[in-house]
Amino acid sequence: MTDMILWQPESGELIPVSAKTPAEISGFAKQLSIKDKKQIVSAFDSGHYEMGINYLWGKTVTALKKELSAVGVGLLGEMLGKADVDEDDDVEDIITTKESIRLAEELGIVSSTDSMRLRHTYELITHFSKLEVEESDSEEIDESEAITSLKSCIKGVLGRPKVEVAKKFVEFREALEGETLSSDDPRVEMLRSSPYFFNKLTVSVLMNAAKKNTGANLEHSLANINTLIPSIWSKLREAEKWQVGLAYAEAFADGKTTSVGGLKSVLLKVKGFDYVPENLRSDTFIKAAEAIFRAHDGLNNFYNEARPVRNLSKLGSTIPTPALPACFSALLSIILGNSYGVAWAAESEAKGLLKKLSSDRWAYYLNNVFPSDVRILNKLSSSKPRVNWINLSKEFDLGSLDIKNNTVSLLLKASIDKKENKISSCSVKLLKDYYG
Amino acid sequence: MPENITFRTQLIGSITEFCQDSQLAFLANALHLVELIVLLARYKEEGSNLYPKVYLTNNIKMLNSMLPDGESLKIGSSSANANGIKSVLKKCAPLATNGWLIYVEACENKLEYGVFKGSGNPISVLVDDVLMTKNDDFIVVKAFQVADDCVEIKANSGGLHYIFLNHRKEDSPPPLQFLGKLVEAVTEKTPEVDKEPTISFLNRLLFGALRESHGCIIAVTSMDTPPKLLSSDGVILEEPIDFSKLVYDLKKGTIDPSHLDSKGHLLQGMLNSDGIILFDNRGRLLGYNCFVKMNNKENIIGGARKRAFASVKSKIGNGISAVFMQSQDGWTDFDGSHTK
Repeated sequence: MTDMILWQPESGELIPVSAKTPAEISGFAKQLSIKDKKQIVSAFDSGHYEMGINYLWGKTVTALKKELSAVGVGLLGEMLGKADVDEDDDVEDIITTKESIRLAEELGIVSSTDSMRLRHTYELITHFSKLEVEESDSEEIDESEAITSLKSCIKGVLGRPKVEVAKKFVEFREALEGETLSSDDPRVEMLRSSPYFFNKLTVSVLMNAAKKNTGANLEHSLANINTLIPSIWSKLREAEKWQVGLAYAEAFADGKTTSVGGLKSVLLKVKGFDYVPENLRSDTFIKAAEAIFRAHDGLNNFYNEARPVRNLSKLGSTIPTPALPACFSALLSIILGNSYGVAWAAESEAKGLLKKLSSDRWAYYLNNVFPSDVRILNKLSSSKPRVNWINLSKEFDLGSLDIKNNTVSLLLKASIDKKENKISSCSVKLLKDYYG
Repeated sequence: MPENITFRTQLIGSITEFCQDSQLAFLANALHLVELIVLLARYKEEGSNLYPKVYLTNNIKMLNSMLPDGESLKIGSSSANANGIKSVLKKCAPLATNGWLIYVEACENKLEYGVFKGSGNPISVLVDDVLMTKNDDFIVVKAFQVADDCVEIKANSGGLHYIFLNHRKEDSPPPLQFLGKLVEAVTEKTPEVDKEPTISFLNRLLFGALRESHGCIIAVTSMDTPPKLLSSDGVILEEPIDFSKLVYDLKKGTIDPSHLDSKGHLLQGMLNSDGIILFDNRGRLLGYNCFVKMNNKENIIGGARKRAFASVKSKIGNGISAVFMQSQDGWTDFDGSHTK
């Protein structure tokens, strides 16, 4: 039972090994029109690889986002920790390209290998688009890179029939809001035995439903909250427990009497009222952290990161506990930077803020949030952010903290000892534990 | 030697079962609750009538954590007996206005007391909707003077009584029993997603305002425009006050809570004016100070308000969907198309 998971990426050989030329490979792109295929093949055949790949990438990202929107824009927002997103928002406006690749992997739309290939393609395109004019004249995407990218896009996204992939997840999500699961339902047992990611996601779906649904869907959601949350409560980490408490506080402030009744009932069952924030001040901090994520993941991030970090800093150094996960993750994203480096102005401000946080808070983050902080764990697989992490570990004396999670403890020791490979393997292990 | 007969003796017998069912150790002695009821029935300080709501609980920490964004202020402690109850009211009753409520945490040999309030957000869930529903180990008993000479006692384990300290008959309907129906009629056609917060807001507003009003009539129309019956002699607002829209705007953050509160104050003022207040069933306040021609066909015993109520009531189904009346002493009547 322990190896059961709710849904998995569909695998299978979408492009046979015999397909080698652009024309042969693009023939398997089911989501491309004949005209699109012709244009891409023509660009490749003429040696205009950069142009062809850029065109192909635009189609890939659009298709991926469209597919993601099938699971519900509100849920995507919850998964990304963007509280102000609702179903009326356009998926194009709320998800960056990087986020869409990550979400597609988390939702099982693409496998981790395809996800890695898509990330590489994105990095390749971003790298060439950022070159100065003189450099751009001397450097160009070569044929093998272009063919690899073409394969990645078609294998990962464009080769699949439309909106088929996340089907199992959509079914589960619909069940959470559309029917009342009994405690002996196999899906309840399945969830209990699933990796942490699915527990976290289920909490997000249910809390989102409690805040936004009405009528019968709300009744089902609240009944499922009262069945599912107690069954996974002991497994849940602090961040998710606070999420339940915060949903109660938000529903209370919004006058959602029915939702408050259902959430109160579950909080009484699990004795979880300690996780209800005294006020909604944490909301302001979470929104400020989200603004940092947006700047960090968006274009021109090195120029745009300083302002939102300053805004977070202005809110004061006493970050409410429910907002700690988002704020830590946002500030660390700035300090670790990406494979191109860090934004200096934002980095020093972010460090200043983190220095104001006590060792207890650091221990709280590393014990309760870090093991599922996918954003930061993924950064540790990249060389420059990893080096920045090593420097940060030393500067903040993270090795002296009392850490309960064995893998996190090993990772911190490796960081102090500057063992990059060990850091990578520990972060991979944490991700594996999280996703299963 | 003559034997005195008092309400106290009667009350003890009547509420003993309620006290036992509440499972609050302090109420194992029913006299404690009797003392509280008698005190609340006609509570005055410095010549002013006060209507504090008192919540007896076994766990103030849990009570506070159930009310996010709320506030709590400990005032003191007293002995766990009738004198202790007196002391609680003496110290806290004058403070228990504008949303502040009294808590009494019954510990082993003493009472810890103070005041608390729910969220300052005008659309937040009502305190009673959270505290007065069944909560297993968490016990709350509420006592409150709901109308002149009438105290409501309610336990979150389920018990509810209205204690009449006057000559009313046993089968008299409780005061303000129709407030819920009035709010239901006013919000009947509001958008589903905003219905609950609009109900919370109007319930909170009207409960406080009606307790202090000297009586009123509120009519609800199902028509798009005010019915002639009321509009011909009354103040019809050029732009109705759309409470449901204001609630929506507050949720979206486009207005401040004070904006909704200030519109609520206008309604409070209207409740203190003569005449009938007119709502539609989409949560919009259309007008006030409206008068109707009296219906003399029915033989109504009572004053002008009761006869006006009968006149409006006779038009239900004919432009009017519901009508509510509160008399000067706080008792209410209601009729609505959906209750027929």
